[in-house]
Amino acid sequence: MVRHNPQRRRLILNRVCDFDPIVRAHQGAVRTFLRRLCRNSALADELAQDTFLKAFRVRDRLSSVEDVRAWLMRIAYRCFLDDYRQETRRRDLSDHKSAPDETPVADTGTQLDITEAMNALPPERRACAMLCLALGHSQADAAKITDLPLGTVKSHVTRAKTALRESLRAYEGSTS
Amino acid sequence: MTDDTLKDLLADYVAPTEDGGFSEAIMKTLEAEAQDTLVDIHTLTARPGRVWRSWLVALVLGITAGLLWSRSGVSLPDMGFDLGITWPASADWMLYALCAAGIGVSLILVESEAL
Repeated sequence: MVRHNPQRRRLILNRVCDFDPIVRAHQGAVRTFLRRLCRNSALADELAQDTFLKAFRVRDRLSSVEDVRAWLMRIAYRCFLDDYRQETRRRDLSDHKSAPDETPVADTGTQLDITEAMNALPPERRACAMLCLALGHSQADAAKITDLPLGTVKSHVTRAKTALRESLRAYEGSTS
Repeated sequence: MTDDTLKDLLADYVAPTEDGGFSEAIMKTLEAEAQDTLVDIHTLTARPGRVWRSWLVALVLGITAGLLWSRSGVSLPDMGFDLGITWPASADWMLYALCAAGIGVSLILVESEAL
């Protein structure tokens, strides 16, 4: 049985240019998410391109998507995981060290401390922390995006909070 | 440290990246992708083996229909003949129906395989 939800925004994408507003609206968030996961801007942009290409190939499904950004984040996270696993396997096989993580030039002082505190978290936990603590997604949303069980996401968020509070203790009370 | 404080601290960390021409580059890639897909469908080069198999089936069905037609001994100007079976419809209409069914099935096969 097909259920019709009038609240649901339906997008009909027949032409390439119809995809343009989606790219413009969400590229910033997708690229930041990937940059923080990869810690490498060039690689993140490459993965962001793959993300939009994959989304474009399955654009027919967009009509049933409620939250386009969460849908793109999910694709982006899959792209990151694929690359991360390949890179880990390659490193294991070749015994070569990968390129050092890039520290954004603009990050100084507080931002540098926050970046370091986040980078100390494992990628899966960092993704959950970003989604739930910074981007305001619910834990259920984060579970869908990362394809992890809800219990695992809750655990990651709790541990991330503990680690970040410990690392950023100096900034307590410094924000409004 | 409260959740709100953490959120405030992380606000800049997750601030959206500036476009810087990224959208234009992506749209060009998507246009190229769409163009490639169109070419694939139009030239039927995506899965040529399966398409040729369908054409082979169409050919066999066509030959079968042609053989039945020729064995019935009718020419186009003289379509009236008797298959010798008890049937409410006339035999020439059955022949037309057989050919139409053959052509229809062949077209459906070709189209479904091509897509």
